[in-house]
Amino acid sequence: MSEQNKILNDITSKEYEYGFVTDIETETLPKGLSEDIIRRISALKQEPEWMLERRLEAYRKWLTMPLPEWAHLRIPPIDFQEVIYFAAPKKSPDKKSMDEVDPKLRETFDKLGIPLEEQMALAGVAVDAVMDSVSVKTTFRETLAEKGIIFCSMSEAIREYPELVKKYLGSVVPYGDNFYSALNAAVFSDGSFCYIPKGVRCPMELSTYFRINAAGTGQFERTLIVADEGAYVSYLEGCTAPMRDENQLHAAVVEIIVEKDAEVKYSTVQNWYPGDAEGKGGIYNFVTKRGICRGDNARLSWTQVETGSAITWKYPSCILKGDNSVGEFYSVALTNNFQQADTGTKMIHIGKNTRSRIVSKGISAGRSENSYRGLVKVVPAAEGARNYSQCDSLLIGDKCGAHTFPYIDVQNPSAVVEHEATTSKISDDQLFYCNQRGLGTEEAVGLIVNGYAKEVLAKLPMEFAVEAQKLLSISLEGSVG
Amino acid sequence: MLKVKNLHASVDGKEILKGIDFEVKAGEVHAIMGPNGSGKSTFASVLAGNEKFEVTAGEVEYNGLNLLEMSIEERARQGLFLGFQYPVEIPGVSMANFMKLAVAERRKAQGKEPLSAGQMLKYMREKAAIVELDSKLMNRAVNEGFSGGEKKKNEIFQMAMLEPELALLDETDSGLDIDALRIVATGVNRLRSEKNATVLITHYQRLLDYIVPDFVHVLYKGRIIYSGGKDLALKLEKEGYDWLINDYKE
Amino acid sequence: MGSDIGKRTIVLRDGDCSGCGGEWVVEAGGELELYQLCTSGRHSVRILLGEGAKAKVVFAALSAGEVEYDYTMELNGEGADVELHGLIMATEGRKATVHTAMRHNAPHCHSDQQVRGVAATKGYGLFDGLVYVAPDAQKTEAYQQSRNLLLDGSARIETQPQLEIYADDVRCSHGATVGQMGDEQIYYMRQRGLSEEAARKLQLGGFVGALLTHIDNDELRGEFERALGIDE
Repeated sequence: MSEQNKILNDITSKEYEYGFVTDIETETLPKGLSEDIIRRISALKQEPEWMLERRLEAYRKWLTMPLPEWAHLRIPPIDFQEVIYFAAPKKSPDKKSMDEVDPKLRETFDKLGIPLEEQMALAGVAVDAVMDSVSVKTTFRETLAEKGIIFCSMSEAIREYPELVKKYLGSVVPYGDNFYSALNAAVFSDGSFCYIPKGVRCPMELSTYFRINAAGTGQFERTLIVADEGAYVSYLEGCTAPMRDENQLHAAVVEIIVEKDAEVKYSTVQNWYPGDAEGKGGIYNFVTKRGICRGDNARLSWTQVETGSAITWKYPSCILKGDNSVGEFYSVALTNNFQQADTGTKMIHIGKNTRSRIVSKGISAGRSENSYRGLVKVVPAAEGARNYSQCDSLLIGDKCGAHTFPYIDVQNPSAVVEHEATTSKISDDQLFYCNQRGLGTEEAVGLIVNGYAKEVLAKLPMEFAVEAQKLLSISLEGSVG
Repeated sequence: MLKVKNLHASVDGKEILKGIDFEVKAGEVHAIMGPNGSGKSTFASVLAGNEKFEVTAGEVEYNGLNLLEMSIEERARQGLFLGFQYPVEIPGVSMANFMKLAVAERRKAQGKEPLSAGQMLKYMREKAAIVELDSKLMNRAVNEGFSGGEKKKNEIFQMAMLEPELALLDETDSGLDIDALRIVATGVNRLRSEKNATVLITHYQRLLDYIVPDFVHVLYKGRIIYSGGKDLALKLEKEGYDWLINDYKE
Repeated sequence: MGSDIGKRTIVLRDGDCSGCGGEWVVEAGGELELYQLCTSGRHSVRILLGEGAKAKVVFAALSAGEVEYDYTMELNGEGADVELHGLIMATEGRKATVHTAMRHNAPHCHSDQQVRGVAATKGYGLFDGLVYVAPDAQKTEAYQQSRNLLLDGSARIETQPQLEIYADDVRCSHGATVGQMGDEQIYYMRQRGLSEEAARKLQLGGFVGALLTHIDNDELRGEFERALGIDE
């Protein structure tokens, strides 16, 4: 057992691979939050007056809101006046055109495995790369434009497509929804905007890569995806940050609108810096993600692999308004060392014959705390609603916690809602079996964990699935105990 | 006893029965055969009144009654029994209690007095013996935890209890080993009389070695395309359905 | 209210415990059976279990008025064992609420919670049940199942089964279902001649009556049977 402890320890203590800092000049606003800061963010982004008004409204609301305290998390007090709300890599003076990316930035993203040059891009994935508060580059825009697809940074969208933004922004996550969504609505920096017009199948994966680089800053991205009638898009999100001893705040909002007969798949591989083995540093990842299936037969699927962040507070949700609409949530959340995660989903059944499926796989190691929290709600009108939830927890070591908090609220007698949850550990028998066949314990744990998470990993687009598998093994390094 | 004329039925807007003509007289045993998906089970379900299916045309006369106007339970009380292919489990409802209620309804429809508790117990034991069904199962919930063979025996046991005039047995032989098959078949044979009739739905000849039919019909694509005597089943077993299907024009 | 070694049976009824509850200590090796059948008021029951102690709780929360039960089980001694079988029946526009907290504070304990809920016209049934496993409460086995039936479009069921686990060598699971009577079963019974109403009644009786199998005492079982309205 102690040998096993040692190996688990080795597995989970591997260094965070993306912890480097890019040495690039950064423009920042002074730390702290005030109406003045919000006006300056809006001005820096050359926003129209209506956007500024919305930000200020959200800010005033935020001032009145309490911090959410219901999650199973110990969150040290955050001084919101100590956060820098806007940081942007400075543009180098010798840049020839708007499209050209600073070589340092390109180098950064290359190092992260995200090529910003289209000729280099593998498998035709269009990328919007966001560093700190601004979008650095969006690839394949012309190719997409030919199909009428809009894929650009949120800042541009506010300037170029104000009607679409006005119509949809805040329509799924209103600014007063919760403390962090209000904060985001007040100070959001960049993020991606994506619009797929009627009947169009997006020919490539769209992806946004978020990177926090500057010290002392928070990242407040805002993403909006609209799939018009009969449209289809698969969207990926990745994130990393440097290793720092301080905690950095990331409070994003993602909104998705799925119209009649449309389908959106949203995948996340979240690998923010989780802090060191002693629990020092790491990102606070407080995110509101929600989509609405507005029209009949709409489908929305969330897949997430959460391995990073010191604290994760995140519930990607589906409002199933259209008849026969379908919501899915597939999640693997791995916590190690002193990480904490409280994550899950909400499925709100409003339309008739709406269906939802939840598969959540929690893995806790070290001294971490890992909670699934989910709501399945069936309103009186949701005739024939169906939900199936499966929430499993795997514990590695005896110093961690694994929790399951489902809420089920059913108000229609024709609904069928099923929830199952189990808790287990990697058994000595399994390890012995693998050892006997010549696998090292570390390798065996990686194998077993990946097998355990397989159902969720299979929902990821191919390239990301491979990436996520590696990530799971790496994140566990040092945890076998 | 049963006269089916030009029966059409569909499920979710898809037509499955496309004009069935079929007649059964008291004392007869009919076998309906045909490849998978030809509509055999649907036909039995429609006769039993399963609300999943919509009858779009045709008439069914049963002992002078308009069957299609009757509810599921009225048909049952009038002596129409369906032996299910997949008998459903009903947790919390004991076999004994269930049978007590069902027998009382059937007897009421026949104009008979209800059985006393003692009579009921005796009656139940007697009928259970016919299919060698363990009478301990009477204290269990309906079909719950029954093996495949026990479920099928349970269907024949209930048939014995309810003394139907027309029994439709839907794939009663499927999933049975040879011993269970023999027991089930013996049970069915013992219940045969001049007054009742049996319709066997099967796609194997196997069952017909034990229960010899008077007539064999082939159902294909929602219609009965061929009828014959008991030898037809043997021919089908040897030669398959191809010779019939190839001749058949939709 | 007191402690005991050996077996002890407690019955809580409306009459003798309106809006009350109590705390019972089951010493090492002791056994407690607690039956509760109340129709209104708030009742809070706490049972503390020593080494190898056993408790069996059978309850029906029937909302003649608003009713709320609150059970806390502290499994403090190694090898303690709790089984809890309950029924929440919310009828006639009333609310019936049951909270349970099964706190595994010691290793090698076992608990099983089986709680069923039925909500009829405008009834509102709420179950929130926790399984807590303390650090070092290794080899815990804890199970929880919440099964619910809505009888009517105006009924509502809320269920919150929760697992909070701090030890790794444990077997814990919970499940929750909310649904309606099975159409297939109704069809089957009607095919054997039962009216739809009789079939539904029988099925509901089966769902509710499962509780009775956990009551050994005939007299007590009869009392529950009458209260649940499933006596013949």
